[in-house]
Amino acid sequence: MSESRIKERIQEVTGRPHPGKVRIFADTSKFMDISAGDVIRVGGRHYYIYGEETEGRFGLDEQPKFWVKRARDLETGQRKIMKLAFFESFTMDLGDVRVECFRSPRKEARILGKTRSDPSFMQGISTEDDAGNVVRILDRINGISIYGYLQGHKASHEEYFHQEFPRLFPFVVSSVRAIARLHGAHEVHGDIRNDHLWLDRDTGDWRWIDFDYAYEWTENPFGVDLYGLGNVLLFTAGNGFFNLMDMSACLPPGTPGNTCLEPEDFSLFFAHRVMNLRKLFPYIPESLNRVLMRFSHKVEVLYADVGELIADLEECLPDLGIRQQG
Amino acid sequence: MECPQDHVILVAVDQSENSCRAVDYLARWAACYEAVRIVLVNVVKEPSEDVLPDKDERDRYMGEKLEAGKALLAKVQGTLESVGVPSSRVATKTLLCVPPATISDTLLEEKASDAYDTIVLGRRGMSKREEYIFGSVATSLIREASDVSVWVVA
Repeated sequence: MSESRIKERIQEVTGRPHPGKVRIFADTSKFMDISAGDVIRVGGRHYYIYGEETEGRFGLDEQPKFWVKRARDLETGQRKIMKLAFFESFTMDLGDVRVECFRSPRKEARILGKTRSDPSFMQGISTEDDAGNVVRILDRINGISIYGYLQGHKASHEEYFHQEFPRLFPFVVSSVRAIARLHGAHEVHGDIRNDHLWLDRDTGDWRWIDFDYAYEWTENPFGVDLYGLGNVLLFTAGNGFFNLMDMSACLPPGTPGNTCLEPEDFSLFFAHRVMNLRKLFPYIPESLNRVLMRFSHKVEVLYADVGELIADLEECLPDLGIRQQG
Repeated sequence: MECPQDHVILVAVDQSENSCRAVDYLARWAACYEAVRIVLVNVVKEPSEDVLPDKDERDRYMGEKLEAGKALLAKVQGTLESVGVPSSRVATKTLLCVPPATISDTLLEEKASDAYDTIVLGRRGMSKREEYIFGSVATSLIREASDVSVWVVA
């Protein structure tokens, strides 16, 4: 595509003329230098950059992710997310367990290939730029994360649990099955969180996103995903998390309160997070509560793999009035 | 009843303290029984390309690990000899663990390839949280091993 044609397409796609000369990047090594108004040429196509993705966690300020660009494919006009190569290693806290984590474009590109056409995963392609950097070009999901979805539900827990949760739970189980498929392909998601499971409003599918975190340890590579799935299950069953501090919220300041909760009722990873939801909401079926308690201090036998978790979740379906499909 | 000719023990060794404890325990016992044959095994795991994308770095890493493993096996063999286990009854092996295989997968593969009666290893003493995230070689072996006894030295 010639420069003049690029400028024409920019105007056609954005509705606005591009002022001045277009900067075209075929080497994305210095992603900080690439900003709105620039074009990335990769894989034989041109992508117009109109900004950066941001990420805020659970109400905190949105932080720009300079290596993740918002783009328009200049051939099709489609909106894309372009993830450029950014190598970092850092220590992540999973509860009070510190793990060393590595950001791996190669890993995410590989998983994109293995999950192509799987409706439970974000879709996209990967290619290399002129410098050999792995660039992932992702389809934007028109939707909302499960975190955002549940934030919008202001009903009482009882109303939520009897009306919304039975509709949502089969999708959660389906998303857990997707992780099992990933593990079967010898891959790890690596960053399972409530804001990494998205409802695609165009298709009605729940899709996992952002699987570029890699780890190095000798034995069970899937434990980190099991940990994440436990959090997602708790969040959806509870329509949020319940922490010990909340228990005394109704008492006058300085008043000692008794609680029915014991240390074993709390998360194995987060000391104040209630896992034994049945003590708060007695209508939660015992079968579902048993699953949650497998992530608590009371656990004696850890889930060995996601298959065991799925078997237990399937036992919950009849107790929630849900008929198992397929 | 006929006494077994040989009792073959696979001992998984690494640089950890609990591995040393397992060897010390075995040494006290093995010196007294002539029928015991010991195979000291050090498993070296290849790093993932996702974590170390540079091939030269990976090769350097493996070189260092293999050297360290060789030295460790020699040291442990020396420990056994010093308590009276003859060198004729001790062999050493280095096994490569290639992802996506795990350490326990590699040990079980070795067990399947030869006639081992017992696997001995040290218990790492992880918290439940750590075991949830990282897994435990000892727990995996206890769950997956068959036709063999597993001694976990705590």
